[in-house]
Amino acid sequence: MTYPIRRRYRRRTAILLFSLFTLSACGGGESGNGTAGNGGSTAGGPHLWSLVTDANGLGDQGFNDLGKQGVEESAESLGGKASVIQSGSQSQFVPNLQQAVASGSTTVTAVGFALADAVTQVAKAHPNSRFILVDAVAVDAAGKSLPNVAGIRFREHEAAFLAGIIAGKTTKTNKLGFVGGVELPSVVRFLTGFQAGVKQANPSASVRTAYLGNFNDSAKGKGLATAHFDAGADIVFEVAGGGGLGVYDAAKTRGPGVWVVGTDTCKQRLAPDNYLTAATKDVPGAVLRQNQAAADGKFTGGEISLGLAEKAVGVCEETFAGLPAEVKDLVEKAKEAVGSGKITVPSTPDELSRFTPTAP
Amino acid sequence: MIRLPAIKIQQGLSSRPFLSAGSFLGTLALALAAAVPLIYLAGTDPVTAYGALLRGSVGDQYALSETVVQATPLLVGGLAVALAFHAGLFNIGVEGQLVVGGLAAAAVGVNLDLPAAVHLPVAVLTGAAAGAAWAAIPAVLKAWRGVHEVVTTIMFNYLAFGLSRHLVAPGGGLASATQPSASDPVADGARLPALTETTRIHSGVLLAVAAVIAVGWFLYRTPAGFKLRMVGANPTTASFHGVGVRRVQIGALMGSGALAGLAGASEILGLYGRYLDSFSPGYGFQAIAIALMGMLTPLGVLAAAAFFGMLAAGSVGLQSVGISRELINVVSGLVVGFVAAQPALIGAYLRRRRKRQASGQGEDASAAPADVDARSAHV
Amino acid sequence: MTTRRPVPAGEDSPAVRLCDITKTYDAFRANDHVTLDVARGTIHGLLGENGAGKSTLMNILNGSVRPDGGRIEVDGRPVRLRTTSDARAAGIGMVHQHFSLIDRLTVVENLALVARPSSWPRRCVMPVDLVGIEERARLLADRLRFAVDPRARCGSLGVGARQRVEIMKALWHHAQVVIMDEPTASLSPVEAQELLSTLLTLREQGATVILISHKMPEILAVCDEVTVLRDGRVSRRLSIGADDRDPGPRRDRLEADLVQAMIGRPRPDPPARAAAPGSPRLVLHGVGDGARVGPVDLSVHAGEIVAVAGVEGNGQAELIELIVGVRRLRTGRVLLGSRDVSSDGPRTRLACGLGHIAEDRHAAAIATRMSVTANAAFGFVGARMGRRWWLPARTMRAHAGSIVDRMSVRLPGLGANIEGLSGGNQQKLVVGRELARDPSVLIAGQPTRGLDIGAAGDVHRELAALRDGGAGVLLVSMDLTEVLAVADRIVVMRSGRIVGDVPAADADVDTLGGWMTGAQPSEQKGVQPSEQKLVGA
Repeated sequence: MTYPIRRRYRRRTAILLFSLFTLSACGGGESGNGTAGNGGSTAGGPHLWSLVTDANGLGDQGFNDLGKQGVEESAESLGGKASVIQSGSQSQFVPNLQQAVASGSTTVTAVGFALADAVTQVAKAHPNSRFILVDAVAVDAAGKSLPNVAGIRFREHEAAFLAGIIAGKTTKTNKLGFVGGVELPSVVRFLTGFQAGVKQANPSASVRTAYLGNFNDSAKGKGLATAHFDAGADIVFEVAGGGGLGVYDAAKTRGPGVWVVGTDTCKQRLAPDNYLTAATKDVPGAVLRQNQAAADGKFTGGEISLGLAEKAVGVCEETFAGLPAEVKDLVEKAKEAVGSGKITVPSTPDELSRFTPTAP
Repeated sequence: MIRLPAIKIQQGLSSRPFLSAGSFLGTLALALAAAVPLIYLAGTDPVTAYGALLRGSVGDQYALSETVVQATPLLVGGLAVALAFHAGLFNIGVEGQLVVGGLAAAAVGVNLDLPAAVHLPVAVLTGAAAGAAWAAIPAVLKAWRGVHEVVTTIMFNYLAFGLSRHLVAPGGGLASATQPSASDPVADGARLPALTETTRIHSGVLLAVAAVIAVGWFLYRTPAGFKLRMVGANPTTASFHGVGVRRVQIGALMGSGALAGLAGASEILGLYGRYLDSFSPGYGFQAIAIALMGMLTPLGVLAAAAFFGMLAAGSVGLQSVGISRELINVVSGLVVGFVAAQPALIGAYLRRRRKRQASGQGEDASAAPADVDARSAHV
Repeated sequence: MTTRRPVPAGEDSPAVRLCDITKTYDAFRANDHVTLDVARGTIHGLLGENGAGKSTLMNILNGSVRPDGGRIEVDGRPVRLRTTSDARAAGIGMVHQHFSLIDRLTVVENLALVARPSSWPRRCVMPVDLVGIEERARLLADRLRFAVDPRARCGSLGVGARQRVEIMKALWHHAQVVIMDEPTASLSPVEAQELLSTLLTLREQGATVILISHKMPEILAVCDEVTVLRDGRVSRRLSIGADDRDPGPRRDRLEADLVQAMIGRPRPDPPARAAAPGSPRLVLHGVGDGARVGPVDLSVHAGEIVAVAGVEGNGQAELIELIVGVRRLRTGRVLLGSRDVSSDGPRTRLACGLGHIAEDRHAAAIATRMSVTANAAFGFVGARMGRRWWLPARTMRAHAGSIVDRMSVRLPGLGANIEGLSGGNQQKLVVGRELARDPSVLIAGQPTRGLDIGAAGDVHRELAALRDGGAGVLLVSMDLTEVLAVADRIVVMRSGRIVGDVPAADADVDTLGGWMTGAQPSEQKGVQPSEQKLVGA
């Protein structure tokens, strides 16, 4: 008679312990933040900077790796530890985020729009935890953004604008190509910014566009790039993730004389002789910036838009020095003009059609 | 990958519950043991790793709930594979049928405006019906033209993946304006309600349990199930005894597809609330391993799905002790390998046991002259 | 050309001596201290009921089964036979009841599979000398007086020819001892006769033959010595002299003696003939499948056993399929009783009182992988047993139990997989199941294939009892002895048509054999061989 009661008692204890554990985990994170916020910077403090990857995992040479760099840099400059939880599939986003919260993270960074739903769900359940969502915004059912999620959106078109200027000045044939992954808004922003840049630098040049339909078919990427080159283009802009690797391949096969413009980071080593520049997004910097805010107690949620003005986007530094002085000059001026608001870079085809180049 | 003759032997085992339970656990133990050197290579020790795995999967209530959530689609998918296997058909198309089931359920959930009491059943049933429909063409081709179902169902997987990608790509019929590669959220009335506040367990779990009972009942307690198993065991004998083999084959493959569609619908309507292009990380393929590991019996499939659910849920815990999630894939790969090797292992065990019994009975055998090599047979 | 191994040691040592062999499966003792001497250059008959331990003993000698205890000597020297290649090296070859030829390969290529070098590195790199193998195959065939085209695909060969290839395989490695496991079971009378003369040829050339058989006539015709096994022990051993072979009281006594030793009781008498047949139970009007069978006109009356005799592959199997309803009827009509079932499937026909003992048990009568209980319920579940959503497990078990009792099937348990039963017991279960249908028409395709004399006699009695109860029985058999013993009327089938029809009382082997092979003009009016071809094509 006593035994079943004891068993039930034990189970209740387990449940109680579990809830205490989760509560203390959340609470711990909260109080840690509190002290961090109050005391300014307690170097080597009990910070835990967590990253949850999307289904592609680490080693994607893109978002996930950049995110990892971001949390690692945060750990380096703000103290504490960086931790990366990889997701094998969509079904693991929520448990991974839960795990990151439960282990007492100061902030949880999630990269990629695919995680938007999962972050929203977990952030609602843990209003005291802080989340950084790259490339998407977490909103509740009413469409209001959550106060504990910083949704970082890059103004990719501004970076692409600069890349477009470089490309427009570099092309000999006045024909340019574009290989996109899927016609998503972010990809379209890259394209329109690029087109605007080309128009700005070289009004007689034209851009041919093509989409893969996914972000991983590098064979098709190579095929599309080759088609661009065959049609006379000498520069191809790739915004195709893993599928973009085929574009580098195609350029290498052609040899010198054709160029590739990359995305997100400098991927010069993929085709050293053909690498013109890249429209880069400073994901590590953005993550670090939000973590810094969290460490300082100034974390705010909502949408955060980052562009040239914030120096969060740009073009590949490594190849920039090798460009002709005239081009460099033009880019610097454009950077300034965009940063100061003198030029508004179009982000949709509509805006592009209304865009008229102005001398910076 | 998986050879069909292996299944024969395993089916024969289902009549020996202790042996089959033993071989199930033995397979697990061997797979986990074989992973030990790899765990050391990954830079930690098995106690830590398996401890973390257990904590992450059954360590507390939330972990347990995650195991259940992860096991649900695997369970229903495993039942789908097992049902087809019982009719002698190898449905590799579960993955595609699952995707189509999810798509159909989402389409109904997003686009129709129905009262809640009707909306959910309609969405779930549409998902199952879509899975069945996706299996129908391979089924008819198999029954009437003898086209091997393995080939056609694999082809239909690719059709399903393409359809899914197309529908949620920009401009596709289901694409969401705000979330790329996904549909809009389904109406609240079409959601499979959550069972608890704090966990992700949803009423799709109940559907899965109902499916276990239904499939078990059907296979072992109804004349139709008997005929289905008869067709699987020997189609010629079945046809000579008045069983419409073609009808049974078509029905079995479509029933299998319906279960797969149900698995997809339950994920979309229960877990995610909207269609996501990559919502299945290959449940339909894991389901094959699960069905075989579960020796094609519903309870066996339940046990195997629970184990694979534990692996999926526990992988989070593993990462927290610094082991890459790839190790989980290694362990499940080892399980699949040992499942494939199971008949040989069981055969060796049975021979040994027979030998031991024989020598126990006849004392003269042990005293036999050395001319005859009386050692147990080699494998 | 086989080069003879030098005969070693004493000429008087037997070619094979199995000494004190014991083999136990689970609780079943297949061989219980069996000792067997086979003298060199003789044909040694091995007799026994199903499950008496013949196959186990021979598999032990062939190296494919390991005994629990005992010794084996070949030519007076002790040997260890762990694998079939050990046996092969010791000069022992076996021809199994079921052939293991690859249909798509030619005879030479099939022989090349056994001719390959035995060590694996050589096996991997040595080219296959097909020319040499063909050469040797021709020589071997000449020596055995075989007419086999070495370049023919095995799939295109008849049963007899395939068996000859199997014999060549067994002899390829200069086997001195050849084990033949029921070699005539699937042969026509003519082919069986040819096989027996092959055995005599082998003996002439100095080989030793061990012949496993159920058939008393062939044992008495060729064997020099006979050993009878019963329940895993040797129950009788005797030599057969020349005067024992001639028909007469001496031979009858010997035969009765052997049967007694085999089954522990005298040979069951053949069932009595029928009284006058009644109304037609099964009527075929111009039945044909548009290809291999037809048109066939045949009727089976109540109280009549009609036997269809013929060489295997002359359309008997297709005719059965047409009657059962699994083969598409292109021409003619099938009547069960007075009902025209031409357009109905097997389900309806079974419901109309048709029973069918399938010729090929494994292909069409049982489902290995399912239990004995399930196998006993085929054709009952969904028809006579159970409601739509309920499988009556208890009724099924009772049903199976009654069949097992009636046919005295030996089995580990009703829930056991049917694969756990010996072939003979499986056959008994199948026969019992079809009788349990209480059919008004029973199609019996080789119902005693693989059964020993005792069990075969039981089946014959059951068929006769069914007939006497007013049912019609269509017996399809290759075994003329069986046909003559059991049937009331005999029809002969050749090239898909009925070419002869005679009351059993007036039939004799020569006439039937003539019809079967086409040597005798067909007896039915208006049917000419040339016409048949036209219809068949």
